[in-house]
Amino acid sequence: MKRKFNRRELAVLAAAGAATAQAQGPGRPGSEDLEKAARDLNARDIETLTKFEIPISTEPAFQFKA
Amino acid sequence: MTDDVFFASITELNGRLRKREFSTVELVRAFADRLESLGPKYNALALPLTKQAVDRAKEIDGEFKRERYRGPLQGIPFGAKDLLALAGYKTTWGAKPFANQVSQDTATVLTKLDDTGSIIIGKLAMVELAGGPSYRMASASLFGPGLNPWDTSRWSGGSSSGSGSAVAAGLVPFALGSETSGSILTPSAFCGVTGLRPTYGLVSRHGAMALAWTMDKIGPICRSAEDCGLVLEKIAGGDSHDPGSAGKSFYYTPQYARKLTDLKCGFAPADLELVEPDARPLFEAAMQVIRQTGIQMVEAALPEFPYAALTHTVISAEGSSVFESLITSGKVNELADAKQIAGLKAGLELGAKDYLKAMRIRSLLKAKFRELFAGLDVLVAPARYSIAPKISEPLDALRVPPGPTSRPGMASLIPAGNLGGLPAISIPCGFVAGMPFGLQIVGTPFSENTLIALAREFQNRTDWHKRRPPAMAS
Repeated sequence: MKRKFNRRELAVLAAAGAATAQAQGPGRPGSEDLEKAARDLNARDIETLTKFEIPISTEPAFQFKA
Repeated sequence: MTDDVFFASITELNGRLRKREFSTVELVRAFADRLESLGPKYNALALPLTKQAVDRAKEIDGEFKRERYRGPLQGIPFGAKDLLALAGYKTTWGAKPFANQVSQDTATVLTKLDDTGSIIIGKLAMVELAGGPSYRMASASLFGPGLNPWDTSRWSGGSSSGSGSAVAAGLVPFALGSETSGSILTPSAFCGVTGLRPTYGLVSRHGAMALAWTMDKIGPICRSAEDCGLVLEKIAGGDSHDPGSAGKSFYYTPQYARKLTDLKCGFAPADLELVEPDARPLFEAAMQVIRQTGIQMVEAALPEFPYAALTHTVISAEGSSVFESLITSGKVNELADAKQIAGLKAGLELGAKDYLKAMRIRSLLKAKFRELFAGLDVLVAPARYSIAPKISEPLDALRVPPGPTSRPGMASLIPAGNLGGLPAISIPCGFVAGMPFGLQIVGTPFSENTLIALAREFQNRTDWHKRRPPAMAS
């Protein structure tokens, strides 16, 4: 179910996002290029994994223990 | 105390302690002084623990005096990678943002070693955050680049950089390292020492920094396969504090090992072409020694999987989750390696379906390795395909390049073995231009005794593991 946000909540979320972005970066000169390269590498990895055929019955290789 | 002591095996040192040729205090002080004076030369020392070690050594001497024997590790000094917590002491994880982190708890492996009477004399340097999803330069550490005792212009390997170089330089009789994907095997191969990566879950990781919960392992780096067996026996075992614990113990029982002539060893002929050209003769000679043990040699190939993409996705997703607060707070920017910073940030953007896809393929990988090992007992391959790089060189060339399939030969065996949770041992098998070269032996889960038996036989027939770096040669 989609949750509707009021204006105040949206403002809080936007401020939190901006604060996080401000806290994270900019790291150092050239960091934007490196970050783009890292995102591109992840995208290539995912593309590679997507080409791999996975039977529908395959569970992930971890087990939750109660 | 002669220099030979610094390169003696665990069994020999323990025997000499029991014969009172020297006291535990003398032995601990000698190693601790050496670690403190030479450790910084290799950027190997994170934290000296000399005072508390000498105090503990006095207690152990009392036990020897009362003839209370605890086993082969009693009185033996060791070093631990600085991702293992020791209550009341700094545990930096090799990273500036954690430079002042003081542990409240002690890692299970350190408690277990203390129970054997073994004595920690120092924390050893490491690549920051055990390398995170990736890093570009050897300098990716709070302690500077790990320098190789065989040639200090070259890297000691990572991420257990200090553990590898400290054992190679005779600063500790053995060390603990950790491996998520290559961090025990690589420094062992580059530094000419013997390192064992245990089966996932065999050794508790409680109190160790997590990088990737489903891939992290802790294991010994020693002078010989035999020493690895002795240490592994003491650190292995179930631990309710480690959710990944397999609940199994390990008993080093060479007397009950299967005959090598009954075993089948898989190898890839293509490996001979893949190793750097100068290493081909020694690799060929090493494979000949393996053959001479009587083990049956069988050509084998790794199952086709996108190993690099799998490893990178799993470590990125889990690692970025582990370090989410470091990343979102911006403190991640204090790390030394810009590539690691970028990789950690990007990892936070990975989606659940992408991570689950990787983990589902990992299930298929496990099944394929079970099939492969139905006809084989071990796989043998170069631990690394080249010698240690210069510290000024980017490390990108060492990595398995991304692609739809595996690389030829066994070149993907390190990521493959780690994804499968398989045990492995790296043993020195020769030198290229004065630098050590290593061979890895990989087996089925919980087959450590088989790996050690083959490695031990190899070491009975060769003396590569007894060589010392030039500055330490007697």
